[in-house]
Amino acid sequence: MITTIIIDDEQHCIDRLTNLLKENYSSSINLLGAFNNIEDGLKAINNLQPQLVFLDVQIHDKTGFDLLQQISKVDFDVIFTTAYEKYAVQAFKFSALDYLLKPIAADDLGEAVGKLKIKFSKNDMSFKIDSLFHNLKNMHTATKKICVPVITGIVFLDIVDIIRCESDVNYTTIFLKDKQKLVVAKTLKEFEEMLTEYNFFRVHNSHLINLNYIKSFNKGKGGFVTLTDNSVIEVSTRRKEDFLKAIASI
Amino acid sequence: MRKLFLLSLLGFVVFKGICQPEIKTIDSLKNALSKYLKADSNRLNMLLKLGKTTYDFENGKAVSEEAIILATNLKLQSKLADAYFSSARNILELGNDSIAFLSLNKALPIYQKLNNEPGEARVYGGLGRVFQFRSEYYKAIEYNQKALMLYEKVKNIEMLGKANMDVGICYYLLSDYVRANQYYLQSKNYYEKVGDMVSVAMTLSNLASVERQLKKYTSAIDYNRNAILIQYSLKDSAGIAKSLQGIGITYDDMLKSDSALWYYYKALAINKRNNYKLNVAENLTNIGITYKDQNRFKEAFLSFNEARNIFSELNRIMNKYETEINIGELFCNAPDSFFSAKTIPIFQRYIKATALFNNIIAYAKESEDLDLESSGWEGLSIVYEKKGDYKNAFDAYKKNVVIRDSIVNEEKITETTNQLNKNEFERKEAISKATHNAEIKQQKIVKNGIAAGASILALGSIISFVFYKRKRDAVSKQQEAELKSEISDTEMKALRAQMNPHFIFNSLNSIGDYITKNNTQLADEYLAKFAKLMRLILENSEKKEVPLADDLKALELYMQLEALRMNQKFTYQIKVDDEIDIENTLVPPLLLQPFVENSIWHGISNKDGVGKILVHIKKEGEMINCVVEDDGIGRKQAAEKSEITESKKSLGMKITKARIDILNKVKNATAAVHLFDLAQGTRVEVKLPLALSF
Repeated sequence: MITTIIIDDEQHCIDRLTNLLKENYSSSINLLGAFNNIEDGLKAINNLQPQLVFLDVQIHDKTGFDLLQQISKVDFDVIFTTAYEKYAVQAFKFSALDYLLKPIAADDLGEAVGKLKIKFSKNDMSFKIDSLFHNLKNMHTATKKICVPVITGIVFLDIVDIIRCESDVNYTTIFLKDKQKLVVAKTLKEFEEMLTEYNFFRVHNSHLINLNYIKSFNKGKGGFVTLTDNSVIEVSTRRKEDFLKAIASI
Repeated sequence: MRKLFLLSLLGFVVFKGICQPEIKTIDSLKNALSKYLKADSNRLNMLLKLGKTTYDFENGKAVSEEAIILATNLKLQSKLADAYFSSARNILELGNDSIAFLSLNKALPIYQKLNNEPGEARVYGGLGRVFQFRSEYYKAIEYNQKALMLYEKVKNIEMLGKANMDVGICYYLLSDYVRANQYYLQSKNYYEKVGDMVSVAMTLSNLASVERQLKKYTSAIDYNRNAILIQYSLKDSAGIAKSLQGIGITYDDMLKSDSALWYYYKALAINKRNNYKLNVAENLTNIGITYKDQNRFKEAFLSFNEARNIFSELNRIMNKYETEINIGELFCNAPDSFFSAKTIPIFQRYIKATALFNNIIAYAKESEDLDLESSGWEGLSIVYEKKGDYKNAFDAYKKNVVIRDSIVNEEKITETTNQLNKNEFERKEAISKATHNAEIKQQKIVKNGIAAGASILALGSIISFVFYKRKRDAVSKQQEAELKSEISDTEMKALRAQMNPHFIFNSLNSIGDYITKNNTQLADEYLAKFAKLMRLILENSEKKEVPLADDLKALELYMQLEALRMNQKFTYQIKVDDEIDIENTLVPPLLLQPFVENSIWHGISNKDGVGKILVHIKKEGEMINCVVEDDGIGRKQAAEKSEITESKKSLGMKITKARIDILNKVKNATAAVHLFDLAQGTRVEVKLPLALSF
């Protein structure tokens, strides 16, 4: 049984999630209580020591992040719940943290709980939370970091260190500035969605490159780009025009 | 064995050698910039000046980028063009011709609009450099000629010198030494007029190279000597060493290797004293080649070895490997006595040589340098031959020949392109000459009589008016086309936006319907699904095209919701042919949804028993066919049952048809919607041109 609490300032959200958990997961999840402000939530975490916290992002005039900041070591899993709020969602994705969009749909909850059952690693959690704070703090600057799950655990990467990503079906290989390679169990599409606004460009079905590391571009049908690590990447014919536009605007 | 003269094309550095005072200005500029942080036109001017003069091109690139942003913010058009030009200059020096080309093309229209002729001329010069960089010399000449004409008009002597030099260099590279000579001389005259002695010396060196190619050795040496005189008075030691090396190369061509060596060593001494490492390595390589030709193996080996170490230290990989080819050849050809030295035991000669050549081949393959690879195979074949391993020797030789052939092919292609460009260029030149001659005649007539002149003037103004009008018409036509495409973009957006409220109202109806029929908890579940679908639709409808996978996801969610609402009154199936990669295929968002909606609302809701909807995506040649098929009551019956009139009935269908019409216009495509009445139900086919994202 996974012990859990809910922290949310809106009663109907608590009710809905409570109902969903009771109906579908009463055998695997033990709901210890629900709390509608930060102070009570903090106390509950200390007293009840839950393994999982469903945490609302906006709680009265504060945020769930404020709560996390007051905890020295986060040794429980967190699933954020939020209405559509684009920036926070981006930060979650970057930090490999789970989140549910309100109103919570039953199958989304199922997916999130399913992931928890597979893996319960507490070290990773404080890693992810650190990363989250870093990204929230640097929301508008370029020094973003992302958490990527690799076989051995979680790796915390500076986006500026990534030269390129290459897809291999459901895996992605990340090539770093220091010549290191990481194989990650995420699709290239997911990286494309995260990194496009940080000057990355998908030049090819299986290549996403950091435009800051382009050394040269050779014309051809689609053409080839050479990156600073001397890797030569094919540019797909259909992407050439957009690619030229993208490099012209650097 | 091929001879290697590194960087022997002296003076091809287009930016002059750095003199001490220039470095000082650059440093003081950098200093001033770090102190003056206000983002105004003063800072912009400093940035532009630094970007124009610096030799630290990375820094120059960064500085120009800042200038571009600043000029854009301050809305200073002419400065913006300057900034683009400066960025192009630095980027080209960093070796990226395509990006430099783009920047230049941004600067050009601005200068033209502002009627800034010197600026325009500079851009033409820059474009010339880009094409020279790409070995498209006739194109390069064409642009430089354009620059020349403008500089003549504004009487900028210094730049006339530079543009003439650039044209000369192109002709030199095309092995047209007579014309190269002509342009270099003109360039020299212009530089002398403005007293730019550094450049005068450079033209002299270039002239020397021309003379050497024409086998006029004495005059080549004279030119170099004159260059040295000037460089001496300017205390330009790097220049002196270069010119000395030029003399050495000339003696080498004259087969006077001892004299050649004497000059190489003189140059070497100067370069060593000043720690010009790259030049030292260059001298050493040339010395090594000369020794090798003299069969002085030990000396040759020592020189090559030292050169290789320097290249390796400077990370000049290409040069390093070229030097190693020479070393490998030494190992093969040197007599046994050479190896008695302690450094290399004789039994290692072929092992070492094989390793060297294999290494070279591997690098050449990786960097796709055919020239280097063929040299590697050639070397390897010699090693095998000396070892008596004739089979491998033959194989290596064969590879060498195959690669050589492909190089020759490539060279032929470039040559043909150059020839084509040449023809084009000569045709244009003939026309401009003809116009030029006509002008001269015209001037004579003017001299002959004012009356005649006046009439020509009148005629001229009429002609120029006609040309002006024609150009204006062309410009306005282009603008019109751009406007049109913009309008259809907006129209599309508006239509996509219409889809949203339309869909929301229908869904709200569904929810209302659901609440009255079922309990609240299920309605709540329905609502959560609806919120999820809305999110998807909002995201998708922002875009012109979305991956088929995303669109089908939304469509499936929609069908799930409707099935839930209607108590599983229908089942659905989505089939996609294997040939279609749904992640890579692009479709306009939400194009099929109205048809599915029709099937549900009109075809199936009125049917007795459970219905079935099939969505089938097929590939048909260069089109995709999206089929929506239901086994409902059919259109005819539906119209009878429904009280709504035909024209009002399906807003979604109407919007979809309008979207397809615009798509056809913009993409020049043949997308279409067809409706078929089946024995049982209706079938809709939407055919779209196959669009892939990669």
